[in-house]
Amino acid sequence: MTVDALKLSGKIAASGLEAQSMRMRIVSENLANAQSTGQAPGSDPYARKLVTFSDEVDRDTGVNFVRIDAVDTDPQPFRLEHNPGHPAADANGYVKMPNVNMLVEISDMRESGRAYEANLQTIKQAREMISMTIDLLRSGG
Amino acid sequence: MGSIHLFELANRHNLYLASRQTTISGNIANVNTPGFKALDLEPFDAKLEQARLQMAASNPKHMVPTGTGSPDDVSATDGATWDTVHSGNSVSVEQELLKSSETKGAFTLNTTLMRSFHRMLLSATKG
Repeated sequence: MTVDALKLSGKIAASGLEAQSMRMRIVSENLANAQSTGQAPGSDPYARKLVTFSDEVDRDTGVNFVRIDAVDTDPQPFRLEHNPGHPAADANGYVKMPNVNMLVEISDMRESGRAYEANLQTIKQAREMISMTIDLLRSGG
Repeated sequence: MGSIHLFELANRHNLYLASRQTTISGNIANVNTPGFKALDLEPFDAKLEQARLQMAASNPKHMVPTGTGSPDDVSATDGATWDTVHSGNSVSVEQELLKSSETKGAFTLNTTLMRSFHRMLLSATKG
């Protein structure tokens, strides 16, 4: 029973790790496409993606796992840049640039890294507690 | 000398601590979930006080009180968390890690106590 609850704790933390790594993936996608414009004149560029989480109660155990709720696009308007020579420039010579803000992405990345570390720490803690329980068997000589 | 039921008590406490650790993991996993409220268990000594008086069940319809440390006792912490962010999430990673290390410390104390009592029992039986 003790070990079961602790194993469950590892599973929950694993769901957290998965969610945070997905978030990290989306951040790197945004950063990689920070300059990706459209192809045709006046077309929309890459739209920044946003990941949202939600908690999900596991019916068997009554604990809260985390899951990825949705990956949406950011509704913020695109930046306009004057560059008449660009293939995606409209009639006035303006190119729509992605609505990706480097600073926001980097801080998002740092935050998700911190949450990832915290989840790892929980797994480590639970594992040590399990091995402590098992070590009780070893001590009686 | 009255019996102290050390093994029973330590076992119960470890069960409680394992459940608490599970709750803390849930909180940490949901650190970025909008609207998630940090959860915690009731303190163990409060539970112990309640469990001291066992109710007698003389009729099959009588309900038996639930045991300590079952995950059903989990409730949201009201106003006890360190920060609530704009999305309505009230999990503070620092606080959760602190609780987690507290839990582990108590767990270590329990297992060490159990081990030393076991050693004493062994030395009594072996002579």
